[in-house]
Order: sequence, then C-alpha cells, then structure tokens
Amino acid sequence: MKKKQKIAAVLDFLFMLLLGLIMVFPLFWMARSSLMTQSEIFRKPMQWLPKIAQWKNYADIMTMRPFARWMCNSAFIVFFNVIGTMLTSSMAAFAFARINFRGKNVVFAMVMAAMMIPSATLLIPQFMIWKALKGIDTYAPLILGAFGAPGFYTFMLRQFYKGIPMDMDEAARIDGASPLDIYLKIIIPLSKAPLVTVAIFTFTSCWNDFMGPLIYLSSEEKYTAALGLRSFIGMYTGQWHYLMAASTVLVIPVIILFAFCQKIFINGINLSGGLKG
Amino acid sequence: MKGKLKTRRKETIWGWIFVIPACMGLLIYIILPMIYSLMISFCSWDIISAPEFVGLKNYKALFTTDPHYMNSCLVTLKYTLIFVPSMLIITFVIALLLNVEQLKGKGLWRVLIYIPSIVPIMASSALWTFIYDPTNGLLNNLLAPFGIHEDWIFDKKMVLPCIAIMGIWGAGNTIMINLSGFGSIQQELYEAVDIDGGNWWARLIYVTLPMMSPLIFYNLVMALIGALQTFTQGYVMTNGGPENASNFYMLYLYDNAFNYNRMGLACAQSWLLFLVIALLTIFLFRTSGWVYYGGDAE
Repeated sequence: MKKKQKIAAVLDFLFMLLLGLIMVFPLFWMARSSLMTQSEIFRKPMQWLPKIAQWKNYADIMTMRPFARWMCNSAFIVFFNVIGTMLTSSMAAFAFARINFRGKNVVFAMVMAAMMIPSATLLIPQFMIWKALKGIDTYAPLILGAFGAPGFYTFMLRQFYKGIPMDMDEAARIDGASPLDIYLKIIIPLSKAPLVTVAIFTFTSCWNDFMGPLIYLSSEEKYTAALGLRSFIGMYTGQWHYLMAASTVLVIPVIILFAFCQKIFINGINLSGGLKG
Repeated sequence: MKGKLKTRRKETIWGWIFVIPACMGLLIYIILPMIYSLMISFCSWDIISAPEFVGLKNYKALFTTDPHYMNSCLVTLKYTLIFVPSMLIITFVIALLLNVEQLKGKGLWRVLIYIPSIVPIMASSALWTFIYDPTNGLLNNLLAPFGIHEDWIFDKKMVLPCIAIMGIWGAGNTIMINLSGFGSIQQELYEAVDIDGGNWWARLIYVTLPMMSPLIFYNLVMALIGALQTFTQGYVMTNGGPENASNFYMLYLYDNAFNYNRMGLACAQSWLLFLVIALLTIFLFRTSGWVYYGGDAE
C-alpha cells in the first residue's frame, strides 16, 4: 500500500512537471521569438533559441508605433477604474452588509440580477447612449462604469463585511459614531486585504479589456495597449518577431503584478473566479 | 419610541447615501441600456437617419432571411459544446492531481498553471495565432519530424477545437477555484470512507464530487455564459473564417452594429442572446437538484 502511494506520488510529480512545461512553453516561445530576426523564425528545421538576442526588436516596435503612449493611456484608464471600483463598491457593500435601511433588499436583489446580464447585450445600447452624450472617442465610457459600484466586487466585499462582528459597530454607535465614521474608521481599516484583491482584479481585467476600447476609441493616439496591439497585428502581418515583441510588452505589466501579488491572485479567486471573458 | 423611529429614518438616509453610486450605475449602465436596446430592436436604424418602427421584423429577419445568423448560432453552440465540458473535466482532474497530499513542489505547479490565465486575451490571441501558423508556427514545426502538417485555425473543421484548446490553456483560475473547494471539504468525511474500507474511487464518488457540486455548478454557469459571448478570439485570430466557421454570435453582432450599421438587427440579436442566457441560467438553477449545499444554504 505504502509503495503504491509512493509510485503514484512520483507519477503525479512527473505529470505536473510535464503540465507545467506545457503551460509555460507558449510564453517562453513568445519571448524567444521576440528576440529573433525574421530569417531565424523562418528557418527550417526550427531553431530553438536566437543566436544573438535581438533586443532591438523592442526598440523598433516602440518607434514603429506609439506603444509607450498606448501603455500610458492604459495605465491612466486602469488607475481610475481601480479608484472608482474600490470606492463605490466598498460603499455599496458597506450599506448592504451593515446598515439596515428601507429598500435595501430591493436594491441588493437588483445588483445581483444585474450581474447575471451578459455584458455583451449591454454593449450596443451603452455605445448608443454614449454616442448621444458625445462621449465617443473619450475615456469617459471606459472609466465612469467603475464609479457605479461594479456588482461583482460589491458582492465580494459584502460577503467579507458580513463576517466582521457587529459588536464593533454597536459599540461605536453608543459612542455617537455615524455610519460614515464606522465606514471610514472601522470597516475600511479592517478590509485592506479584500480591497487589495479588488484592486488587483480590477487592474488585470481593465488592462486586458479589449472590446470596450475597440468600440469607444477611434483616434490612434487614444488607443489602449491592447487595442494598439490589435492595430499592430493588422499592419505587420507575418512579421512574427515584431508581433511577439509587441505581445510581450502587453504581457509584462500583468506578469510583474503577478510576481508581487502571487498569493492574492491564486487565493483571492475562491470568490472572484470566472471573471474572465 | 420616538427616538427609535428617528434613528431608523437616519439609518435609511445613510443607507441610501452609500448606495447612490450603485443605483446610478444600475440605472445608467444596466436599466436604461436594456430598455433602450429593446426599443431599438423593434426599429430599423442605420445610426445616421432617424429610427423607424418596424415591429418584429428584425427578429423575423434573423431567423428567415439573414444569411449568417443561424450559422453564427450554430458556431457558438458548437464551440460551447466543445469548450465547456472539456474545460470543466480537465480543470477538475488537474485540480485533483494537484491536491494529492504527497505531491512535491505544489507552490511551483500552482504558479505555472495559473500564469497563462492572466495573459491578456489580445496577447494570447496573437501568440496562439503564431503557434497555429501553418508555415512558421510552433505546432507544425514540432510535428514536422512526424510528417504531420495541418492548417489548424485555417481549417474549418479544426478552428473551433483550436480556439477551445487556447481557452483551456488559460483556464488556470478555474483549477484554483476547484483547489480552494477541495481545501474546505471536511476530512472526517474521508475518514468515514476509509473506515468503510473504500478506495480512492469511493472517496471521489461519495465525498469529493458531492461536496464539490456547488463549485462545479458555479464553474459550469460561468463557463457557459463566457463561452456564449466569445468574441476576441474570432475577431483577432480568424476574422470569423475560414468560410465563417468561427463567425461567433458576438462577432456577427459586432459586425452588424459597427460595420454594417444595422443597429436594430444588432439590438434584436443582443436581446435574443440575453434571453437565451437568462433561460439557460434559470434552467440550470431549476435542475440543480444534484448540487449539494451542506446543512444550510448561504
């Protein structure tokens, strides 16, 4: 029995090794191709590594297209999305979890139901509304949504706030504290960890967003990094060394974020999973 | 008594102050757009001239005269049927194998498996287009020694499985959700199986699966909703081709709205998608008798 278990553990280890390699290999392949010359990529049989790393590919794409500018645009949009989501979602979550007010259940049910509406069906009418408001080709449509307490994060924070003992609020109330005091002085300081999780997930989903920028942004200097990469793909078809360098540039910020916040990414998902798409 | 009433009213005012942004968000981003698009779906509208009421004509046209609509439904359905079951099974099995107690290096494996899921969809679309490239791509280069050469995403039979494989590659977050679920199963349940002399199969069938059913259900609903809205892969990798074999529902909807200026038709399409997803979700919840929610559901 013992021996059988040991063999199983070794097999499992080998499987994980193989799987890990398969998962990371495409990314390695992307980085490797981004450092090659075009003729190296075209060579048969395939060459595993570049002879000399062509760092100049990165310098090239930065001058060919305004990638630096696009990254800054993305960073700008991400920044306000993170602020807006953290602020408004935590406010709504606080009200749902810790204030007893008339109409609460109705509003909460509506927030939950709205989460179920596929974003795809809202896309076109939202676009038309922004068109009527002359908001096309501005960042307003890509930013203001975050200030409307995105349902998913509201729900996630509400679950956390429900877990904080109510005695704390009651004690503060006896001392004459208003709900605003309780929110600012008790709940927010206690919920740093979930707020960081919200910030990180907002960061990645906003950085990775493609459809929003595609629909709302039309002038090139306003593009986000993801949309810029799309236009780049269209212009340099087949020039894989450049395309892979540009893709790597888009990936690097999320990888850096992941390197610093691994635990939050991997553990934070028990509540916030299934967010992609 | 009067004091109590006063505090109650105060509470209500404070509560509403805190949910103002949420209500504004609901109104501006959800309710108004839904009503607006329902109205437009009954109109013929090219954005430039004024919308003209045509009743159910858009809906009827989609199912009768539209050359691409039924195909886009079929493509999306096919993709969903390929992607969702295989993704759910594979992520569950990998999570099981990652959860084995004696496994060494768990932290590293988790990181490696999770990383692809944070890659922006635009970057992974570019990357996988290159991997599947028939002349210089990774796959054909690797398979060349075996005399295999395929057209992958340029082959209308293979394009959907190819996109599904890319999706499974990026499904590391579902694996982590499963793992966190395993972590919260009570060990006593497994001990009870052991006492009865059950093997690993019995542990899986009688404890793991039933205890995991709420998470499996959650993953299923999320994956279905996501798969039905697939867009970027078709837009970037294949542009709907070859021969419309990857012309996803959302892709055709996007084309109608933004390339052909058929807003009424596009709104009808988005309402139909909404209805399908809503009915599907309700159906799943109604038939979720197999999901086990412990003692008390919350």
